[in-house]
Amino acid sequence: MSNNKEKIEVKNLTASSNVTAEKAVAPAFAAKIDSCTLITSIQKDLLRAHDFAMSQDRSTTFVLSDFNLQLKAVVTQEGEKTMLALPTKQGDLDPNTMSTLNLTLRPVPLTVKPVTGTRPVESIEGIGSVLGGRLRDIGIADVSDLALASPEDLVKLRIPLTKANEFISMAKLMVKSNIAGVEGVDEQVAELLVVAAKIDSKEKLAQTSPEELTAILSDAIETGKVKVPKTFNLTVEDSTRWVASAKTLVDRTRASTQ
Amino acid sequence: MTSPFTFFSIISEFLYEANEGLDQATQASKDQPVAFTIPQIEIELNGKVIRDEELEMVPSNAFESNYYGDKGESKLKLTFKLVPGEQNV
Amino acid sequence: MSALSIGTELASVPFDQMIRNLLLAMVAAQNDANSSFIAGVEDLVDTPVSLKYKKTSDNSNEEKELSGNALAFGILPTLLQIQSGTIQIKMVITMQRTTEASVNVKAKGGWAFFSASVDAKYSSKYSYSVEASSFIEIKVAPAPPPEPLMKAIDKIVQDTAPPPEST
Repeated sequence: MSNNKEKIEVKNLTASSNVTAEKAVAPAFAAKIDSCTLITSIQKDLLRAHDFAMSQDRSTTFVLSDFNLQLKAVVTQEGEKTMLALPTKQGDLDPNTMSTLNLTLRPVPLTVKPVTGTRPVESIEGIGSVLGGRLRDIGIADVSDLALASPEDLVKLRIPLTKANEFISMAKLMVKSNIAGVEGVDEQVAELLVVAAKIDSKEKLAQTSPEELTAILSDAIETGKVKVPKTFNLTVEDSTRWVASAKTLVDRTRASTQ
Repeated sequence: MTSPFTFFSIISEFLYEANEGLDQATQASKDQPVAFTIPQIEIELNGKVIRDEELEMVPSNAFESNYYGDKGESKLKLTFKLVPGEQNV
Repeated sequence: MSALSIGTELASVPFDQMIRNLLLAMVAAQNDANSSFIAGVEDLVDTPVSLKYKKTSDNSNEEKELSGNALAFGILPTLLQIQSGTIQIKMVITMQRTTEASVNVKAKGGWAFFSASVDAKYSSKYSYSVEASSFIEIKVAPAPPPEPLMKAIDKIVQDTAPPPEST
């Protein structure tokens, strides 16, 4: 076996190879890449692979859940930039000069945001107009948006993590309380309604068709948009009961205010 | 025989083959009292990551065995999970 | 030796066939375990068991015997069930551009992975380091439990093994 005894050979490169850039990484012929391009390039491939997995004409499919690359490359400096030298087809790098980089990329499902919401973020204690404006700048327009935001989004606005968690918890509570009191709607169902069907009030629930609601929720559960316990079983009867109960509650509120 | 692969080619090829293998096994054992499914597949590939026009990997194989050895071989670990059949296991 | 012949020597198989064969091997192993359980039940039906004892009372010393087949005494063979399995293979990966014909059959891109497990023979023959080879780990779980088999056993027990009788 040749292994490490193998010497770096000076080979004649073809016209297509990028020789000039590689001379800096003597003695090997390598292509340099910065870490941003490296990751973007991998991400592009992962997105294509995900599309490929989901386009399978089957009842089940495998998806990539973890991508871990222990990359061996020679680290070089080029001006301000740190570059990674990778071998090309034509030449190789000296194994003794290689560093190890560990990259782990994991697909993260995108958050589903409710379309509308009525209460401004300022209705939460501790959020004033200045912070409210900054939240709106990053797309968190109201309490419903805030309920689905990640603490990291808020930390980016220099909100301390504990405070960020507090704001999000409060927003979740407010959104869920909008549909609280509906028969059969516990915390689990409330979350399902808010996240999957974008229903964050009794009024919206009352106007929904039970069949349509069942289809939307079942789809969200099946595709993993919303995680529910394995024992969770959704039927049209459940949806019918929730919608009917919401209608009764809305009617009752209307009657009492008239 | 030793050809460079883009990461997309590697992943999609394994995805396709894993799906195909599971499908075939499910079909072949549908009359049996017991069937097995695969909730997870982990694959670790040794090889070198090269850059031509795109980022590519050349897995080590019998013909270019461990040219770099432990010092210079990149390692690609892929974990595949089955969806949504996994929930039925 | 040409590259192609080494691939053939290593008995390379497409990855999908490897997965298929591994799963079917698990099914076959479970079926064997089930068959051996049934054979065990049949043996026990034909295995007479008799327990002799003396019933002692104030005035007599009566000889008694309890008899039946082994099943009737609740002796059952062990049913081995594969709950889950992990299959780990050190393998050689080779890649080929597939021919036009096979591309059409599979209706996908023009690449195919071929894998072969590495054993000691090939390891020494081709100076291939097993430690540094690629590996695949497959976790296997059963679905669903063999209910029909259990029902059949219940029926056999009911039909062939009356409760022990004292004579």
